[in-house]
Order: sequence, then structure tokens, then C-alpha cells
Amino acid sequence: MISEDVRIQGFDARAFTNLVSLFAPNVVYRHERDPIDSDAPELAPHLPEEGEVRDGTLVVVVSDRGTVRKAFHTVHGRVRDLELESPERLEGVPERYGAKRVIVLREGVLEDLFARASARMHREDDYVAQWLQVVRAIREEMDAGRLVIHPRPFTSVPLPTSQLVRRTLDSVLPDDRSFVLAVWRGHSLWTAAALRRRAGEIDWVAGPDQLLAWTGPLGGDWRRDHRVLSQAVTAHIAPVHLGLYGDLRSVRRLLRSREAGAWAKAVASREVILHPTPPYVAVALGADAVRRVAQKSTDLLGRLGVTERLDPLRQLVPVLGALRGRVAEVASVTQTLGFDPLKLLAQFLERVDPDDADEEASDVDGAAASGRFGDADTESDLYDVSAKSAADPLDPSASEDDAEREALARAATLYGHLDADDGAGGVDDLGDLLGDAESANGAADDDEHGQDEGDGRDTSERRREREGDQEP
Amino acid sequence: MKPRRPSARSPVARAPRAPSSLPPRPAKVAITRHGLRVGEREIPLHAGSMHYFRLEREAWRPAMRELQNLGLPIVETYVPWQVHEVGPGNYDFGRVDPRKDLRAFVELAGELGLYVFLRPGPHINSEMTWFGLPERIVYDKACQARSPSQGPVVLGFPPRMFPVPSYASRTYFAEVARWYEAVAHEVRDLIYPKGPIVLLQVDNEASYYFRDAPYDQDYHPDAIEKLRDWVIAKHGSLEEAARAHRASYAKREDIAAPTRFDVSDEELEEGETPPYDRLALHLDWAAFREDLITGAIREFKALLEAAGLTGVPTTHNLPLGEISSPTSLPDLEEVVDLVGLDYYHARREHRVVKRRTLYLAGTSRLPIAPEMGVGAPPWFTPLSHEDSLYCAMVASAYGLRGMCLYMAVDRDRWYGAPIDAMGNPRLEAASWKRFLGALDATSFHTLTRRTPVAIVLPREHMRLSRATHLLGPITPVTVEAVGMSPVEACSEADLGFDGPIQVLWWKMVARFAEALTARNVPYVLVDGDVGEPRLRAYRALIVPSYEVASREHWRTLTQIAADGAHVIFGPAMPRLDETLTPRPFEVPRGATRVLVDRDEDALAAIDALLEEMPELGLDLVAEPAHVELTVHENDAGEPRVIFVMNPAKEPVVATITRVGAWAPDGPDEPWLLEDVMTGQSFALEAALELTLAGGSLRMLRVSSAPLAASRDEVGRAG
Repeated sequence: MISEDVRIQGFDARAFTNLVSLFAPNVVYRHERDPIDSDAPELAPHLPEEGEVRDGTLVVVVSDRGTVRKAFHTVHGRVRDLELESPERLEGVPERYGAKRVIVLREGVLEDLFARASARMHREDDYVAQWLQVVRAIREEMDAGRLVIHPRPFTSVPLPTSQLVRRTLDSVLPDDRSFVLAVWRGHSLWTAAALRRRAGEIDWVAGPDQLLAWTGPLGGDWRRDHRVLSQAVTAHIAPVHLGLYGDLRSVRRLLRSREAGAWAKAVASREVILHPTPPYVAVALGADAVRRVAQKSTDLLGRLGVTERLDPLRQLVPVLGALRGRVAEVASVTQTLGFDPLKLLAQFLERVDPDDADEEASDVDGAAASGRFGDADTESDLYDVSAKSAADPLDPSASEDDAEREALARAATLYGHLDADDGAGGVDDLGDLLGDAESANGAADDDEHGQDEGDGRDTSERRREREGDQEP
Repeated sequence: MKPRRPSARSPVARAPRAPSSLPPRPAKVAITRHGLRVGEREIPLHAGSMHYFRLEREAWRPAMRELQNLGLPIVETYVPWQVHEVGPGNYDFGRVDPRKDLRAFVELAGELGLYVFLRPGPHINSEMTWFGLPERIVYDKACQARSPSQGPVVLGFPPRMFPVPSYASRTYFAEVARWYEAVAHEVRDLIYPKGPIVLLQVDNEASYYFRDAPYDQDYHPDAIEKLRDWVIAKHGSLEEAARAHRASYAKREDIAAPTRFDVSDEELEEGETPPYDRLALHLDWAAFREDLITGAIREFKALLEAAGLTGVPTTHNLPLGEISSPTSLPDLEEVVDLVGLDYYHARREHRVVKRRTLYLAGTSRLPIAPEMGVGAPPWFTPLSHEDSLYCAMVASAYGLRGMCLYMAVDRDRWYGAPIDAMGNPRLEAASWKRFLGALDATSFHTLTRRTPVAIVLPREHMRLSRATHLLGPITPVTVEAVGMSPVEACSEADLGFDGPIQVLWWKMVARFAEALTARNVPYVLVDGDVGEPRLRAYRALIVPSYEVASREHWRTLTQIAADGAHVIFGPAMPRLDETLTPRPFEVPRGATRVLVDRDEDALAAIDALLEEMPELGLDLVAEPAHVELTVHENDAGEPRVIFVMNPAKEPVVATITRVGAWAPDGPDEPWLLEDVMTGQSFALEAALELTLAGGSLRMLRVSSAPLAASRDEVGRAG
């Protein structure tokens, strides 16, 4: 998946550090920690203070007989006289030593697992496949009890095979196509990267220096500049399959958001631009929007306690029917991998960078919040979201079917409310997105025009009317 | 402390020197105390890296011009075997791909007035797949290093993990000879004075390709053969070797390499011989692995010479983690002319940069950084422009006298260079130009930092630390490189000694480092393998000593003490030699034995030392305590550059005070200072207040520094 000849070029220090900080802020923040303030930090054992934020990892090496041979904290150094009841009973140990986790290693286990992983590697394996061998060997040792990590990470994340990862990449980025990410801060390009896939592998990652060498100076309005960037990437690297463009604040918020509808709303309101939108993205956004509607309906139903069958439901039916069809056609990332990588990323970012957590994120329904880009939910799940809500306000004596119908009825009405309150545009916007998906499905080149299933007007035309945007 | 001569204990075979068809050239380039003498001209060792093979040909000229504009007289490049070899024995040096025209690149540098620092490998890393080696080489089993189970030793670097070559493989050396010959065919006539090539590097970051854990490698049959020769040569005979190893060797082939550290003090019963009794084999294995590298570098150098790449100084570079590394810098400097360290550090690692530079200043012939990171590879921890510049300035503050900006010109799989891949300067170039200009304007490379005290790092204890490493492939070098101490992952077993020597020696070093800093006494760290002449340059030596010691080193120490140097040692007098055999050790005359269990003990020892030799302290003091200060003097002992450093995150107003011999005699003797980066001017009379931002430093040029006539001369070291 990563070419052995991969080119990575065109980044100055600032743009690269910014890019890393988007997806792994803890790596950048590590350098912002307090500096080592002594020539001999190992002499000052650090004892965690009340309320101190836990950091780093406690590493303990034990002999075959379970005797502690060594203990150290990756941030604070050597730990003397570690109290460890047994490698199997680690509750409270990280907390006691101010660490986020503890790893207990049987002496010699690392040598064994590296040797085993190395022996399984083939010359033709790529880097992802090689690392999967290492991870597999680690899990084997964990299962055998020779390597214990507490708390155990990624318990619900299945280990994909390299074929699965490749299939996922196939669905996300086809061969000879590129992915573009460009983030602005005010009028300046804060960071950017264009990735190309060729012969099944990512073979080129171009940074802002490279991109700007092709575009020349940009205008400073990212909602226009993104087209220039996209054209340059298409001309010099490969046609753009998916582009994400936005302001720094919005992009960071969305990457951390687990709120249903966050992405759909952001795209619909042009807070970020996803362009082009491949089918799986359009479908996911549509599903995301429906979930948002369903969640809203659930909330309001809970407050109003009233249900009624309304005509607007009929407006929703054809949209949902089309959506249903898309779901059946398009394999999703989450389905392929068995887990939602964006959700995982959001959880990770929320953990390492909590100050930037989406303030609107609610934890009402993890299922509702999942599958933002991985539209794994089955047809029934699309309708089932509100029923899964922890705060299900519906009358418990009502039948499941009745509850479902009521929720959808309300959803149609409330989608109109959503339009008025949040400017998301309502059902029309969903049609816009599906219309974009139609055009993206038919032509890989950028083309903002598409037809919706509403009044027949051109999508971009209606969008301009709504936003007052004028073509230059 | 080993005398500086080829070691009789290194039986690693010397490659026979093939007769060269080229006449010997007179030595026109030489390493000096200050830099490089090229003909009649002495230049600082300031270089900038630029990889011709990764740039468009039309970018070469503008990039070189910008490099010169930064103030760099030397351009450095790797020569990648993998790029030039198009098939076994078949090379493209520009015949097909003009970007590969090495000769044209070197000639262009000469035309523009640049000198060239050439690094032909064989391996170059440089973020290349397979570290720049041809794929066929790394997958040739005869070339591969071997694990204890004879499997490949795989390195996990992107974009492909790969099996690393063996530093003992005869097949590999034969392949390298062919490669060197191919390079030499292109450029041997461009060696100075005929051309601009003035420096050659032999191999790159020789540390077992970061698979340096004690029992990771190398169990290649060629390595085992070398081990057997080495063991017999060291002990004098098979019988003596058996006695030392507490083993039974009927024949040479009975000598086997240990595959894990199997010395344990668990289940020790009364009357049993102590565990350390079986340490000798492991210490020998650790020492052999150092010599295996040294011998390989020697062989590579001989191959370069045989190919005609000779007549200029040679260098080598060690990566991060040099104290944990199975390499001996002093031994390597017996083979090549200069060994330096590579630097890639964030601002918060100020103390690490300090420690590494003090080790380099104390141990090497001329402290240089063959790679001073400007930016970093994309799979490294992110480093900002400020990180890179700060690292370079802090290293200079503690005594670095030369550096190669790596990278000066951007390229694939890199970010952060001051010159982009088309040869245009980036915004960051201005700061680098100013800093390099300041080094030039102050003739910084000719200055000296007085460091009258040395803390000695006993190599026998460093080996014991490596042997007791517990994290396997998360190697000692890796542990140190990520900012932990060199002994962080060592076992804490006593092994029958009074305490875990493998951890305690570093604690003592650390305590004294802290105490010397607290008392404003400049010092360096010195590798225990440096020769006696280097050690004699210091007024005071601090030596961690425990039950086991090298007899040769101890003899040197006692001799130096007898000749008047002040020696502080402890906590224990040695009683066992390196074969763990009881021996008598002479108490160094006039030395002070210390027991250092707490920070206060080290402070007390330094206070006692200063009581006796007050001139050891620096006559310029900075407050508050965490602000550090270094002074660099000319040959007349006049201060010429002062660095004032604030490693903390918070800003500070520091007070600099002239004391002792530098205290002003009267009110009209201010020192005139200029901040070379900001242009601000200051007058330092008795004291001066300076504002320092968090994680920043000031490099102050001293344009005038009247000194009191009665100032005592203090011996200068290093």
C-alpha cells in the first residue's frame, strides 16, 4: 500500500508539523512538554501528585518466575521498588505511577516476537503487511500472557489482513487517482498534502511547496482557491478522486466530532468542501444527515411526547429509497475493515487533544454516531437509529413498528426545522449530495454540476441562489 | 585508559592493501585543531548537504549558489549505491539519467568555488529504501547479518523493513570493493588538489543498523570466525580464554558466542560462586562487537584507498545513542581521521544536546556534527525550524566546532531544509545565514571553551550496561535516542557485586554532572578508551569505579594521579579485572575516594575540589540557577563569545555577573557585547540583566573584554 519508491516532498518544517498535528497532535505536543530540567533526570524519581494528568507508559520486565527485573516510566524514568501483585492483576497500577498504561513483558518476549514476525515476512510484502505481521505476533504474545498491556487497547478493533486493508484502499482511492487535503488558516494555506495511488500503492505525497510551485500564489479565499489546487493536482499528479478543503478550525473540529450529522451539516453549509464526492462519501453523508434527523426527532419527541402521522413523510420516502439503493451498491470502509477508522481517529483525538473536542458532541448513541464515512449500517439500521437511542422517549407500550413510523414522521417535519435552525438546507441538500454522487459516479473529473430529484434545477445553481455566491 | 596506538587486542583481519596504480599524492588537506587545512587555507568544517540524485539537474547550480549564500564553503553528498547500480557490476553515472552524473556535480561544485565532502557508503540510510543498498545485496543471505537462530536481522524502517547486512561478511566486503571501484572510476581524479573533494566518509552511522541490542547479531559464520580469533588473541591462548570464560575449550571451534544474558543472581545459594564469575564471556562479546565495527570501518577505508579514493581526511558519523552504542569513538578515530555525532533534537532536549556535545568535545579529535539536522525525515518526531536552529546553537555553545547542515537543500523524504528543491531560499534560510555568519565573524572554529574537569565514562561499565539490556530489539541505542538514559532498560540485578554496577556508574556520572553545573564548573565527558595524552590535559578527573575495572585503564589513572592531576574516584576500589579475576589494584596517589549516594555527596566533593582549586570555576556566573552560560576564548585567553541559555519553557530575566579573575578592576571596564542574531548591544560592567524567552539562547559576541592584569593562567584542556 506504500510504494517502496514513495516520494514525499515539498514540505517545509511548519507545514509538515501542522499536518502531523491534525492527526497526531500528541506527537507534536510531546515536544511542548516541559523540558528536561536537569543533567540527571534519572536521579529524581517522579512521584505522581494528586490530580496530575497521567502520561506515558509504565514498562515492567519480569523474569520467568515473575520477579520484577526492571521498571521504568517512559516520561519520568526509573521506578524503584515497584509493587506488582502479579502480571495478571494490573488494576490501579497505571494510576499509582502516573501512567496512562502499563506494559508487562516477560524477559525475552520481545526477541521472540520480533524473530517470529521477521520469519513470516516475505520479500514482496509491503510496509503495511510487514507491520501487520508484527502486530499479529504481539497479539499472540498477549494471548499467551507473555506480554500484558493494561488497559488493553483496541479490544473491539479486529486486526485486518493486508488484503482487507488493500480492499479498503481500493474503495477509498482507486489507482491513478489522488486525494487532496488542504487546510487554510485565515487567508494562508496552513498545510496541504496530495496523495497519489499508482499500481495499487501510494507512491507520491506532495506538500504545499510542491503544490504552490504549480499553482503560483493563491488568492486567499479558500472556497475559490481549492479549485486552483484541485486543477493543479489533476494536471501534475493525478485526477482528484476526493478532496477535503476547509478552514483549520472546522477541519479540526470535524475530525474530533462523533456527533451524528456533523460532517453532513458542514458539507451542506460549505463549512468544508468535499469535492469531488465519490459515491461512498455521498452516501455516507446522506446517511449521516438522516441520522442527524433521526437523532433530532428523538430528542424532540422526548420533549413533546406527541406523535402524529404527517404528510411530509411522503417527501422523505423517495430520498430514503434512493439512499437505500446506494447503500446496497457501495461497499463501505467500515464494512470492509470491521471498524470505523474515522470514529477511531475521533476517539483518539478526543483522548489526546481534549481541549479541541467537539463541544456539540453528545454521547447519546454510539451507534448513531458511527459510520460517518463507513456506511456499514444495513437498511434496517438506517431506520433503527432512533430506536437505539439511550434516551428513547417513545411510549414503551407502543409497538416497535409504530415507534419507527412515528420517529420518521417527526423526522420529516423536523428536517424542515433543521433547515430553519441550522441552515442545513433540508431535504433539498440531501438531494444535492446525491446529485453530486450521480455526477461523480459518471465522471471522475471535477464537475460541480449535478441534478437532484427535486425541482430539476441544477445543483450549483440552487446553491448559488441560497448562498448568494457568484461565479467569478 | 588505552594508549592511542593500534590495539593488539583487535585481531580483526586487516584487509590486504591492494597495490594502487596511481602515484601517491602529497598530503594537501589535513584536519587541524580548528577545522580543515586545504592547501594554505584553513577553513571551518561548515558544510551543507545536497543530494544531486534527488534533484532536477537544472536545480544544482542555483542550489549550490544558495548554499554558498548561506555561508557554507563545503557541499556534502552521499553517493547511493542503489541509485547508480542498474545491475550487478553495471552502473549509471549519468550516461542514461543525467541526474546521476556524479562527476558533473563535483565539477560544478569546484567551478563555483565549493569544496566537496563525499560519502560513498556503502550504506547511507538517507531515508532510502534498504538504506541505499541494492535490493539484491540485502536479500543475499551470504551478506546478511544473522540472529542467534541464524535468521535475518530485520530493521523496521519505512518504507520497507529489510534484513541488514553483516559487518563481517566476506561476500559483502567483496561487493563493496566493486562498488567503491565504480565510484572511484568517476571521481578519483577530482580529489584535492586536482579537484574539490576534500573529505571522504567511510560507511555511515555504523551501529549495527539500529539492531544493536547485545544479542541481536552478529552470528554470521564469518563473524563467529572473527570472534574466535579475537578471543584467542585477547587472552593469549585457548587455555587462557577457557579460564577467563570459566569454560572448557578443547579446540578453537568450542568458542561460541553467547546468545542471551544468562547470568542471574536468582536462586543463588550460599557457597556458590557469584554470578559475576560468568560475566567475562559476555563482556568479551560486548568488546568484540565494538571491534567488529572498528575492523569493518578499517576494511572499508582500505578498500577506498585501494580504489584510489585517498589523499584526503576520512570521517565517520555516529547516530543518536552513542553512549549505548556498541562502537568505540576513540578506536574509530584510530582508523579514520575524525568521528562526529549526528544531531536531531527538539528544544526540550537541551540537556541531551549538552550531554552529547560534552562527550564529543571530551572524546573526539575535533568535535563536529557530520549531520546537524535541519528538518527531519517524515517518519521522525516532528522538528520545527526553531528546534533545529536551537539545537545547532546549543551544541555550539557546549563546544561543537564544525557542522554539516543536513539537509541544506530539500529533497525527497525530507522536510524543513532552508533551500527548496529548486534552489530557492525558504524563509528559514535567513536565520541560518545569520547564525553561520556569526560563527564566521567570530572565527568561532578557532576559539576554545576551557573545560578543566573531565568525567570519565569507563568502557567496561558501558559494556556491562549493554549486556544487561532487557528490551531486546528496542535496543539500547533506541532507548537513549528517544531521550531516556543509556541505562534505562538495564537489569538491576546485583550479579554478586555490592550493587548493580550497570546502573550505578551512570548515576554517579549524572550526579557529578549535576553538581559541576550547579557549581559553575565547566566540564566534559570523556570516553574511557581515550589515550593517556588526552586525559593528562585535565586538571581533575572524576572516575566512577566499582569492583571490576580494566587494569590498563587503572594503571593510566594511577600514573596521571601520581603526576599531579586531581582524581576523584569511587565508590569502590576495583579488585577484579575484566576477566573477573581477583587482582591487586594500586590506590591512586593523592586521589579522593568518594561515596556518592545522594546529590549532596557529589556537591560536597565538588566543593572540596573547588576549595583546593578555585580557578576551576568559571568567572562568569548566571542566575537564576537554571540559566546556563558558556564562554569561548581565543588563544590569548580572552573571552570572545558568550552563550546565555534558558532551557526552561518560561521566559526569564537572567543576571550575568563577572566574578573572580574577570571581576572588573574599576568602574570603566565594561565588556561590550553584541547579540549576533538580534543585533542588540550590551555593556557588561559588574553585572548585566538579559531577557531570555522560554527555550531560547543568546549568542553574544564580545567585541571588547578588558581583563584585570593579575588574572591567573589556567591550563586549557581539549
